[in-house]
Amino acid sequence: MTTHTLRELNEFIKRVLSVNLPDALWISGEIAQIGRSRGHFYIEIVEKDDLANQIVAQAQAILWASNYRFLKQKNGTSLDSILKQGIQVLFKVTVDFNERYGLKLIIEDIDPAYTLGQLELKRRQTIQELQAKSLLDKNAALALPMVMQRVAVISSERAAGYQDFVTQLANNEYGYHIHTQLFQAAMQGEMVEQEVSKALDKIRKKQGEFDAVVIIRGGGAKLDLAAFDSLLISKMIANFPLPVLTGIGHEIDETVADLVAHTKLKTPTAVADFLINRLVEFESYLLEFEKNIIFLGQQHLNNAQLLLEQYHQHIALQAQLQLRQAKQQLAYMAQEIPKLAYYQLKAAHQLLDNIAHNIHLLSPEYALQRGFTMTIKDGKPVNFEDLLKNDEIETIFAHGKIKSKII
Amino acid sequence: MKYEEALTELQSIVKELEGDNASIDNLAFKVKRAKELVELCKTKLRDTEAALDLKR
Repeated sequence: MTTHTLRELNEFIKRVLSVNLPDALWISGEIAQIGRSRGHFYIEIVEKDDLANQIVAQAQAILWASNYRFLKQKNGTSLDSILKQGIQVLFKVTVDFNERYGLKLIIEDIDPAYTLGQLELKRRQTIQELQAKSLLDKNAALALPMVMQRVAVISSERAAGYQDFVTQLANNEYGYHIHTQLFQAAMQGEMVEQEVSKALDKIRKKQGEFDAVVIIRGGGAKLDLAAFDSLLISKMIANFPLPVLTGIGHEIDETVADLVAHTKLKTPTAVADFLINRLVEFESYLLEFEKNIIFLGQQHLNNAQLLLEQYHQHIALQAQLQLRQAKQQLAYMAQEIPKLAYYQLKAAHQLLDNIAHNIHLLSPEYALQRGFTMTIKDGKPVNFEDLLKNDEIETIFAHGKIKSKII
Repeated sequence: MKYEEALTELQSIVKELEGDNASIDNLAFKVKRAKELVELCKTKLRDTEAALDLKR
């Protein structure tokens, strides 16, 4: 049996590799671990099973300091955002096999677009999941208080964006006081997700003390914003009991956190302006109210005065009317009563005349005038039965009397 | 005496004089009384009228 030395084997492997893999090639993977020593990057690249999330391949890669400087010039700050644990990458590598140090991938180039694409893919998945759970509009459905004066701020004290925010609030031309309380959290780097969620938890515990939550940072490279595409943070924002306002990115960047927030604003300064404008709106609303109240009050007063005036006129008119009626009535009485009295008098006269006439008709003189006679004896009227022989009687006529003797 | 009382009395006088049973004895008195009442009422109306005119 032929034996070989290890060196012979490794030299063989090296030959096979250099023959079969002469050129550099692009490989995709995820950075599982990354360290830096004397300017060189030592990177552990892995490939994971999509479903089980288990590592199915692994290799060591090196980015030499010289090449790092070259790539940095080419790609700018986004390079540093890519060279982080957990990032999906596309590296152009040459395979180097050293008899002593084994297999290494030497990184020659990097494709940031791939990483962005991977992030975008993940971002879309996150959005889909949020949508499936109806979380995208959940925070936005909360009523935004008219006045937001107690604001919980999640940011980093040193972040330029936070300073912009505080300055903008303090310098508002209306003199409004907005009380902010800062809940410190890393706004870039690997700790963002953990610290922001921790800050949200803290605020949730004292939610009664705040009107709204503001999350601000000062823009930055697109890859730096990736932490705000986190499903965990997005879910927390969506389910947060207070309205969450974001001022995370710049014009073109919209993170998932922005999507689920109640209101997304472009910059921290814009968030401050938004809060101030709400107060301005509220104050003008109050002023409008005041104006309306004064106007309505005046209207009521005018109406009452008008009514009073109408009453006054009506009463004056009615009084005149009543007076006139009373006068007519009185005139009637004044005229009628003497007239009536006269009629009464006349009637009494007539009655008297009638009675006198009747008395006249019954009088003896009247009977005598009509041809009757009256017989008297001893000066008194006498009845036939009372007369005796030789009585002397007088017969009275209207125009004379005769004496006679009964024989 | 109130205007309404005076008026009521005047009305009762009219009613009596319109009726069949007017007392002739009281006739002169009634007419005199009516004259007084009318005078009283006229005065009251004049006063009221003056008051109303003042208010205008």
